[in-house]
Amino acid sequence: MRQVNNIFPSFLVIVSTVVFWELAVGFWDIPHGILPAPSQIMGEAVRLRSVLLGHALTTLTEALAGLILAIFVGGVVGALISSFGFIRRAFLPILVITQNIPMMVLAPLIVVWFGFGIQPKIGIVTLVCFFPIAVNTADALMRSDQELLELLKSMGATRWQLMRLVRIPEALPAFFSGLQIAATYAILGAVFSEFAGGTSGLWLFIGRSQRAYRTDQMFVAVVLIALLSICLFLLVRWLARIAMPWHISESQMYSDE
Amino acid sequence: MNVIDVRGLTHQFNRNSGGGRAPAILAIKGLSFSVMEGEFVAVVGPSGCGKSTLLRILSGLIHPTEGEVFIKGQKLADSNPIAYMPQRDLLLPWLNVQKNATLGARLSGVSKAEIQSKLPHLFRQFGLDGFQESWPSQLSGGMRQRLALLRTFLMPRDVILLDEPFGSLDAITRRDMQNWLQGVLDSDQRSVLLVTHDVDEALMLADRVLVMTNRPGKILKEVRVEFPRPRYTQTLTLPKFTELKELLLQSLAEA
Ligand SMILES: Nc1ncnc2c1ncn2[C@@H]1O[C@H](COP(=O)(O)OP(=O)(O)OP(=O)(O)O)[C@@H](O)[C@H]1O
Ligand SMILES: [Mg+2]
Repeated sequence: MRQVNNIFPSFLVIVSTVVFWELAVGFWDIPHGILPAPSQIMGEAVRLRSVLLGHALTTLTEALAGLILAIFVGGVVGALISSFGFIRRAFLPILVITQNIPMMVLAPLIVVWFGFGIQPKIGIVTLVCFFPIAVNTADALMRSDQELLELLKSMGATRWQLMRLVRIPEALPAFFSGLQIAATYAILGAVFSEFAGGTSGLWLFIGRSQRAYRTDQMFVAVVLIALLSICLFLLVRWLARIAMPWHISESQMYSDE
Repeated sequence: MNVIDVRGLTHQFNRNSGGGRAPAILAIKGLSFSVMEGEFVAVVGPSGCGKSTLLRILSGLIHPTEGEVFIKGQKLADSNPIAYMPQRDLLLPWLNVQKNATLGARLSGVSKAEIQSKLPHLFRQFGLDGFQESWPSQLSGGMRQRLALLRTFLMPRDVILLDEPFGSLDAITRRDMQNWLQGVLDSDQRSVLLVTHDVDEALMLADRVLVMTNRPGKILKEVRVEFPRPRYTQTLTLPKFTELKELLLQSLAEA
C-alpha cells in the first residue's frame, strides 16, 4: 500500500505531461520534425516493433553481460582493496583518476584495439560499472563492527568464519547500493559503447533515425532506453530483497512506526 | 576450587590516534579477586572504571599489561572455557533467531544434533518459543537480551561473563529478567561474573558483590550476600538488604 502511494504522484505527473504534450502539439500545430505527438511516437513504436526488439536486445545483452562482469570484477577489487593496505594505497588513487576519463573518449580507442564485435562493448560497460561496486564494497568491508568480530573470536571463530558470518553479510547493503548505481550506468554505458560503431544497437538506430530526420523514431529509442534502465534498476532492487531478507523486515519495522 | 583467579591485574591502553600519540590510559591497576565454582559474583563500579575491560581480558580478547589470570587453574590462553556476553547484545541481524541462538555453540564445535536436542526446552525457558524463524529486528528489547543470554548459555563453557545484560531495559522488564535469570541458574549451576550499575540487581542476584574504584580500577570492597538463592521480591524489603544496599552505595560514593 505504501509502495502504491509512493508511485501514484509521479504516475499522475507523467500522465498529465503526456496528455498536455499531445494537446499542445495539436493546438500549436508543432511540426513533427521538431516535436512529434505521443500518439505518433506510440504508432512508430508499434510499427517498428520487430526491428526495435533486435536493437534493444543487442543493447540489453551488452549492458547485462557488462554488468555481470562488473559485479565479479568490482567484488574482487573491493575485497582486495579492503584486505591489503598496500593494494589500497597503490591502486585506489589510480582507480579514482581513471574514473574521470570520459568513456566517449575511450570507446574509439577500444574499437581500434578490439574491433567492432560485442566483446569490446561489454568491456566498456564493465569499465563504467565496476567502480561504484568496488568502492562501496571495499568501504563496507573495512567498516565491519569490531565488537561483533571480537565476540565471534571469543566464541572461537576462524578468519574465514568471520568473513562469512560478519564481514560479507554486513557489506551486502553497501554492495547492493553500489550495484544500483552501476545498473543505472549499464544501459547508458552500452549505448555509448555503440557510438564507436557496430551493426546493431539502440545508438545505431538513433543515428539512422537522425539521418532520416525521423524525430519520432528517435523519441521511440529514447523512451526505450529509459524503460530498459528502469527495468534493470528494478531487477537489482528485487535481487537485493532476495539476498537480504532481514533488511526488508528492518525497514518494514521502521515504516510501521 | 576457584574457576577464576585474578592476581595483580593491570591494563593500560596505549592509544594511537591519527599518527599522533594520545596519552595512555591506565584502565585497571593491581586488581585481584577470585570466583569459586558455582558462585555468582557481581561487580559494581563507576562508569569507565574498567569493568568491560576486565571482562574482555578474562575472555582472552585483550592481553593484560601486567598480572596473572587463571581460569580453572590454567593460565589464560587464546581459547578459554568462558562464555562472554558483551555490553551490546550484538545479535547478527542477518541470521534468524534460532541461528543466532546456536551461533556460539556451533562455533565452539558442539554438534548440530546435540544442540537440537536441547533447543525446544531452552526456547521455552527463555521465552522465545515461536520466534525461531523471526529476525532479531522483530524482537522486543527484552527478547533480544534473552536471545543474547540464550546464545551465551548454550555455549559449552563453565564460566559465564555478563556485561550489564539488562542495562538497556526499563525497570519493570529488568526485574522480570532478574527473576527469570535466577530460574535459569537454578537448573544450570554455572559460575557467573556479572557487571552491573544497579546495586539492587547485584544484591538480588549475587553471592558476593565486588565494588571497584574509579579509574584505574581495583577492588575497593567485597560484600557477601547471605540470602539463599533464588531470591524473591520480598527480599528487597528485608532490613538486612537495606543495610547492605546502604553499605554498597556508600562505598560507591567513596570510589
Ligand atoms: N580500546 C580502548 N582504547 C583506549 N581506551 C579504552 C579502550 N577501551 C576502554 N578504554 C578506556 O578504559 C577505561 C575503562 O573502560 P571500560 O569500557 O572498561 O569501562 P566500564 O567500567 O565498562 O564503563 P561503563 O560502566 O561505562 O561500561 C575508559 O576510560 C575507556 O576510555
Ligand atoms: Mg562497560
